[in-house]
Amino acid sequence: VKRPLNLSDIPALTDGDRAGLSRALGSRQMQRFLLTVIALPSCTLQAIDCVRVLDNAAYHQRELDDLLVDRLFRNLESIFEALVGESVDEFHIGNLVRCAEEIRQMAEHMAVDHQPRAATVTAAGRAAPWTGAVRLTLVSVRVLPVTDQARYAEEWQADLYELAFTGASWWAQLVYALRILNDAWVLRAELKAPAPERVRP
Amino acid sequence: MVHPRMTVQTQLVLRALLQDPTHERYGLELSTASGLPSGTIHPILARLEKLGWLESRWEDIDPIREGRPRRRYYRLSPDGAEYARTALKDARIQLSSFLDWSPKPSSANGGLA
Repeated sequence: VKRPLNLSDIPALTDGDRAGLSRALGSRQMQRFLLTVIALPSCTLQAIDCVRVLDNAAYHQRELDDLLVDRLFRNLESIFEALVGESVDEFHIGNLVRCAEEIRQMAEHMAVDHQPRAATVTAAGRAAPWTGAVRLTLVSVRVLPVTDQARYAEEWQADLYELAFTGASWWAQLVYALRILNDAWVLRAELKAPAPERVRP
Repeated sequence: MVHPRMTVQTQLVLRALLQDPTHERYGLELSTASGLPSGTIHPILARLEKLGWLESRWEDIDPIREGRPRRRYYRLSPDGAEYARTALKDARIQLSSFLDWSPKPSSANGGLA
């Protein structure tokens, strides 16, 4: 019997990971994303909580601790879950895609600046991907039709394991996950499009 | 015959798949082979699969024993390989006829643009 993989299978963040993630979450790009979603009623509370956490950390000039990073991620996951609703109009989707693209560019820049490090190894002796990137792919699958979510969750996680195995830095893994997130809407449109008549020989 | 939108990205994916039509590849591998970023590849694969040009299957491993999730392998269907070759050829013809086109010199101003 195959047990599905879940986040508890994956090692926690290292201090280095968390410091980088803390900077990314506190970035101008992330603030712009939060200000974009704060206007959407279904996301307002989570976005306000994120802004409050980030403002507090900035005011006290300290990095986010484990609990706060987890809290931000939970909020971001809730925000994306809410965004899956059909009520989000094209104008907001356009703004959100622009925000995700900005965040991806930032992460790509940071991926260049950071040297790859040795990957975390699971109990099975395999390199494990960074938890944050895995979580982002799990957020991305929520954009997809329910019937396709399990497939792409496993497929994208398999890619992340491959990246980790080849020694990709966690920034590179984040870039991978953000690109997936950025184009999840396109994939959703493809999956929801009516099947064309199949080509026959 | 139903053709997918033959964008440059779609053509790159088809070229990568046609390098060895019988060889199965997973998403990240195709992304590297086609030179496309990770997010771009999956909508194209979904479109081609819906058209019946692509076949996909799960890797036959035990994820727990291997310590990683299963990969999803893709390859062109026998018909898909044939249609892909034709579609790429058509796309090349369209591109070359576009490149052959050039504005003719105007006689009204002595051929000066």
